[in-house]
Amino acid sequence: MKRRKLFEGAVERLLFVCAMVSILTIVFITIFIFRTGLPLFEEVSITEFLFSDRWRPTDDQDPGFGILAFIVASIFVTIGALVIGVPVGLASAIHLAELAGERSSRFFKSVVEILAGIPSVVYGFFGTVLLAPINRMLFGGTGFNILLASVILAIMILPTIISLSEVSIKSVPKELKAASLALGASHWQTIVRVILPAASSGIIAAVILGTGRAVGETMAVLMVAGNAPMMPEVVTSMVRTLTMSIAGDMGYAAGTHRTALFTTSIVLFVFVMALNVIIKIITRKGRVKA
Amino acid sequence: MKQEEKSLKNTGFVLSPHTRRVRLAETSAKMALWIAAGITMGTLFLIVGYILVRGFVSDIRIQFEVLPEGSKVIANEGYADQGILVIVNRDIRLKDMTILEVTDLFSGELDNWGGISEQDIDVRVYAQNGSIRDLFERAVFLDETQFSEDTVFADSDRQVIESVSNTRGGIGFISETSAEYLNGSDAKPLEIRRISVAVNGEILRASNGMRLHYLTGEQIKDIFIGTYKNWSELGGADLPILPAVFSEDSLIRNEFEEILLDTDMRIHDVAEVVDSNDELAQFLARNLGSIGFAYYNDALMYEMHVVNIERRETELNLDAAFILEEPRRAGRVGGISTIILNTLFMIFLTLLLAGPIGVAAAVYLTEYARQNRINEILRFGTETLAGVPSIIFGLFGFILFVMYLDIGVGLFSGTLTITFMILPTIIRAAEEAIKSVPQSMRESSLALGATKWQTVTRVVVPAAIPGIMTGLILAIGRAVGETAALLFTMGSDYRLARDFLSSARVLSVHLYILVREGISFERAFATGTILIIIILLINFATNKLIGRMARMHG
Repeated sequence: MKRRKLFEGAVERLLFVCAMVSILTIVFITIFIFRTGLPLFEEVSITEFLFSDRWRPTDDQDPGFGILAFIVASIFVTIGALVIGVPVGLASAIHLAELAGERSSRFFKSVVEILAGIPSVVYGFFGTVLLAPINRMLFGGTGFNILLASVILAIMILPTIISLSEVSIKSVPKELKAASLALGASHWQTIVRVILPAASSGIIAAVILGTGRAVGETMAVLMVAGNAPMMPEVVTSMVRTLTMSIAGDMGYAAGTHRTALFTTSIVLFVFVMALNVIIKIITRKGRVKA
Repeated sequence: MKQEEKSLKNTGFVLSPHTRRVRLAETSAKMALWIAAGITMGTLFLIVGYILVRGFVSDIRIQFEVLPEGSKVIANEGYADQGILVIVNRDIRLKDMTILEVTDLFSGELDNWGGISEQDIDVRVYAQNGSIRDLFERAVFLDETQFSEDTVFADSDRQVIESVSNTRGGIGFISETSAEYLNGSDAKPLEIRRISVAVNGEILRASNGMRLHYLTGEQIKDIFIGTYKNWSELGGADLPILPAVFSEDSLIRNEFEEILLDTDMRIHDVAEVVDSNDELAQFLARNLGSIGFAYYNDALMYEMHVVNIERRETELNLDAAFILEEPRRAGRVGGISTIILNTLFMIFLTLLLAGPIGVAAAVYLTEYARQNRINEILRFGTETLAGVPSIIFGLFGFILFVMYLDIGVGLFSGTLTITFMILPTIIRAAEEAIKSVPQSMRESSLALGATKWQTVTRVVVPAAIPGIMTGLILAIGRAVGETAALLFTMGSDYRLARDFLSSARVLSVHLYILVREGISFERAFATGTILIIIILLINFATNKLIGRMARMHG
């Protein structure tokens, strides 16, 4: 009996260790990235790093390590993706949750799952071979720019937005909908005035999660955004985002240049973590309200 | 709704303007939602359809200085009855060749079929040493060119056929009269493309911004049967088209007509009939807007201005060979077998690590964890890990395995990196599956005297297997598609991984490199197709499992 108890205790501890792996990974990622990236500030001031757009990491005489252009590019591309992706995604989610019949909604869910499963290189490749030539025809230039990157990212964040919004719309209590309809409101009025407000915290969380995906996406933007380390000016500017800078230069960078890439990843990591915390707060609030 | 409207109409009931407006708004809003859903579905169909179609069928346009088609028999002027056939071993995936390729193969300039048929086979040259050797040399070799040193000379056509049949990569030539011996052998004759189209140099030069870049076979046909009269109709300068042709009984004219014209068509509106290449070259040089045709060798020898002719090749892009053969020359040639195997290795190792850890973590979170601060943090960790961008995982793996542990870029580092990445997917799916196991099952097991651990391993986890499987399959999907995390941890060696530490390229990295380096879009489409097929299979499998799970739990 004692041995059995000992065994049960050991098992529980072992399982606990396995459950710790995720949080330990997060901790280690944080430690490693900060330890490798922070030494950059011994050579470059933090203001120069964040607020200068002079990126000349391989210049021997006068190297520049300003990533402002990449930060702005990431923001532009992400906003573009949200502007295109959120309306389509939210509308699709409402359609899926409120209007589609059982068979068509099952089919539509499959579509969303496949969209989520398609590898990001395939999206990037699709953008390169089909959308870039169209973009080039319409707006001139190389065809690889903010606009194309936004479109591709919008497609990529659609599944996140659709499936999470759909879940939160579906989880609005039936009584609310029934009460609204009973008061004489039409279906559409009920959706806009009752269901969406009730589901808003979930929808906002979906949008933020989509933002996180768009900011962190690497391969697809790397293939379609043009990769020019300059301050973006118009939607047809070729740009380089934070992730592109890391993935593009990592292969050959050395010394301070490589350190600067890790420092860039700190910026990215902090931003994504902040989004995660915000989601946590919003969903908790939503739960309290419901 | 519709039914109601109809019945209202029948009773003569009239809707108020306000109600009508509300209904109109309602309909248009729903229409907008429907369109948005349509856009989502349309996008998926466009991406999947486009890549699958281009992945399976390649449609390439190649420009070359000879006609897109050829004839099997190489004949020489003055020796009309002594045509030559070029034969190759049946394994060579070709149906025709340009005369230049024949020259390069027989002179030893090309010693591997890779550049022509994309097969990694050495070229073995057999020549007939008898009567037709001179004729062959005259038709195929220019100036100083000679048979390669490795050429094996045979005394008769039958010997050549036998050698070519028995040798992988064999090529040879025989007299047309011996064609009957090819029946039943493993050698096949090829079409040889050797007629060029030459024009007056002015047409190829940019005058007033008008310049002829290339012609298609169809356009050349139309020029010679007299459909086109002016070069401007073909995108060239404003000059009349002046065709010059050889006389009707010449070999080249017969060959040209046979290849290009339908049986009932005739060459029309000829500006000049010439008797020799020399005459043709002079006519072309003197007259603006002139055009003619000659054998490629002759056109080069008389320094004519040869036009590029476009040839469209539509063929199966993704075939069994692509999956079964090893990649060569950076993936330009051959298949992707080693890359598929590397991907499978990675998935297998990842599941071996992430599967047990993930399921154990899920068991802890659902069965053992008490609602307290630590467990809330554990859950937050899993959720946050799922949101970390893959490039950060890549950097983390690079710092940990390459910089600190110094085990280098390879299968091991890449696999461990991916393991961390897919853990949240597995944990979450397993958690859901375990939670959905009815509480009564646990209680009965415990009531029968089983310990908690026995209950978990013999009752709860087996009942949750379909859900856990779903999580594992979804994790495979994530691992297969991952690129950014693998670029700097797993490497890009496209050979088969020899051990756990050797660099190994997986499918998604291969696709990225093919596109980035501009190696081959055809291969990239085929690789993308395989990736998409894997994703579709995964989707199919998870749907089946989820369906089964729903049935199991009523």
